[in-house]
Amino acid sequence: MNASLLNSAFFFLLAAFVASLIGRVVDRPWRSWPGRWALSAGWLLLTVSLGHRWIAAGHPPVSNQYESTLFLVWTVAGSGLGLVAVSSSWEVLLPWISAFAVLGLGAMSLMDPRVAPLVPALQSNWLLIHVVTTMLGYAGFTVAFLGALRLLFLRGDPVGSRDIRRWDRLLDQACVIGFFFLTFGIVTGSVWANQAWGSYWSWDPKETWALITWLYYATAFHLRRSLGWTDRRFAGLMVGGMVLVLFTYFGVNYLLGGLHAYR
Amino acid sequence: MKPSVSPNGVPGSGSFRRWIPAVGSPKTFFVLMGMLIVACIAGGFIPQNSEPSSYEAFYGAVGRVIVSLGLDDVFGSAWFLVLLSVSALNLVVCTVHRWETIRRQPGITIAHLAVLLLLAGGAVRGVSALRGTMSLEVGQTAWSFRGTSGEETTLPFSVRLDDFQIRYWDGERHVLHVFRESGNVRDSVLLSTGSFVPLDRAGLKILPLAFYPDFTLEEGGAVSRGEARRNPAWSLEFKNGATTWRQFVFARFPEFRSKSAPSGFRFYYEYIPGRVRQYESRLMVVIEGRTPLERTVNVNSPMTYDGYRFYQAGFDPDNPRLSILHVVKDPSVGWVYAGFFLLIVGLGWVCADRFRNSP
Repeated sequence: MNASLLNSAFFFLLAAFVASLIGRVVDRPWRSWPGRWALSAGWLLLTVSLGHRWIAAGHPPVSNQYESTLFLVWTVAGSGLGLVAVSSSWEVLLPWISAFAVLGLGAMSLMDPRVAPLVPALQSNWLLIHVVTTMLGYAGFTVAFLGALRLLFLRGDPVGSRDIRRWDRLLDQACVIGFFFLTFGIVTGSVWANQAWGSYWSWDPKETWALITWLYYATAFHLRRSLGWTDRRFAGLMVGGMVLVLFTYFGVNYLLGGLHAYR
Repeated sequence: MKPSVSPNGVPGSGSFRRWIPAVGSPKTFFVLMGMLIVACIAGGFIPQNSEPSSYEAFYGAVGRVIVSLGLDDVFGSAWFLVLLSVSALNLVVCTVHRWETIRRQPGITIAHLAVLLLLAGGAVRGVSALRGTMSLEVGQTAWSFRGTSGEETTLPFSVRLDDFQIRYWDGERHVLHVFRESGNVRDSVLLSTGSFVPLDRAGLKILPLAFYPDFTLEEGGAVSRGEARRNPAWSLEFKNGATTWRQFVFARFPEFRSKSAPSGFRFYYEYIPGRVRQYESRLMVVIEGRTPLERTVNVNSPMTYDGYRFYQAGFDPDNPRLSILHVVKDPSVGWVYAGFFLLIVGLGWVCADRFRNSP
């Protein structure tokens, strides 16, 4: 059943990508609605899939790479819908967010989808809090990255124009949210590690790379505030940050191992 | 006496006035952050704290460079600690130097204070934390534990292991895969001692006779050296029509072919261990014959007594009565948790400010 749900979600998210792209070139009042509806349908199916997996496994569906990727795709798609609900001017993000969701589900097809019982270390209420906050952090950085791509692709807009300023503000806010939740994720992970292993910090590869990501975004904020790196330069920083986020999330598990190598 | 103040607002005189703005400048901050990131990337990619010879074995000549530059222990090296210390100093000077601007943004002030607390906590940990390992068999009592450097540390009380249990999600499984060469038939069956099991596709009946967790041959015949699954094996009886024979199958030696078996069949025994659900120790603190504390310790649920914490760290698959515990005494936890709390409050404040001031 879960595979059928995800296949259907994939179909709707792909449809959202195509429809929202077409919506960018069609000059009709209804042009954004097909993309929005398709993304909403895809997101609802992802929600049902997460709920189904939670019930089937008997634990929150965040215990391995497959499940956390599903949660990340769900969060990013939900963030996109939320942004569009707040202001229709963010509709331009829909193709990017749909494309990310499609790629995320595509990547999941390469991972192990089996539901497995939890190993002793993961049998803790901290599991849900730690993974959800970290994934929310990654989702914030992903929205900032997608917004940055859009900002960098804006042509003909002089620096400081109203459109650029609007995108720059979105990047800043998405990045602040991402940074807050990444910090929350690192903190909850440290408290959990202290409870499970007796050490809140062990320089495990995942911890080290999470710290690198944290230092990078902290530096990006200081560059913005102290040296005025806004607009395209800040967008460039967000694109670079996404490389670190992806390595911390995927690369470490597959290349470096350590205490977090739950595939 | 009133201290002298420089035109840029820095108290003190002479070289101190020149030195302080340099340490607290944004340029210094960015250089330090860059160096920290590069150091962490090096420590993140290169395996840390392995034997020096293993770097040469794995990386060749580059391994010697890694060891000579201290990149095999980045996070414990003196230069990394100096880098962290200078970063802390930079943070203090930056905060003091820009106090008039920062004090109007309480979130940023609190977040910076939190980072200082975390660094201070790290220093306290480095100076005063004790950690090590204790291995106990059921019924044993210990007064000390072995530290990470191998030194023996005495406890102000003793700890007794009253009981140790390993619980499983599912039990171990023994699967026999049968291949009949004529007709290219494959079949599998779960083994457990009892009656004949029919394997219709292969045209066989199998009677599992005995399981040997650690098989060996002695004068009297096959025996098991113990309960640990070091060399799992089964004695099986087969029926193929009127033909009957007995043979052993071994999980560790799948290519073993019994002389008693007729040709045309191949048997592979697969041992699948049970998946561990939890392992837990019943611990008692003992002082002069009294037991002021008894507790069951498992992963995620340690025991704390007199500043020492006891964590369930592992077990010995070959000795189900042996429990491995981590022992930790770390006075820095309070500092670090206070830092974590302030960091979340400070960054939450910054978030709220960002959205409040959004047009």
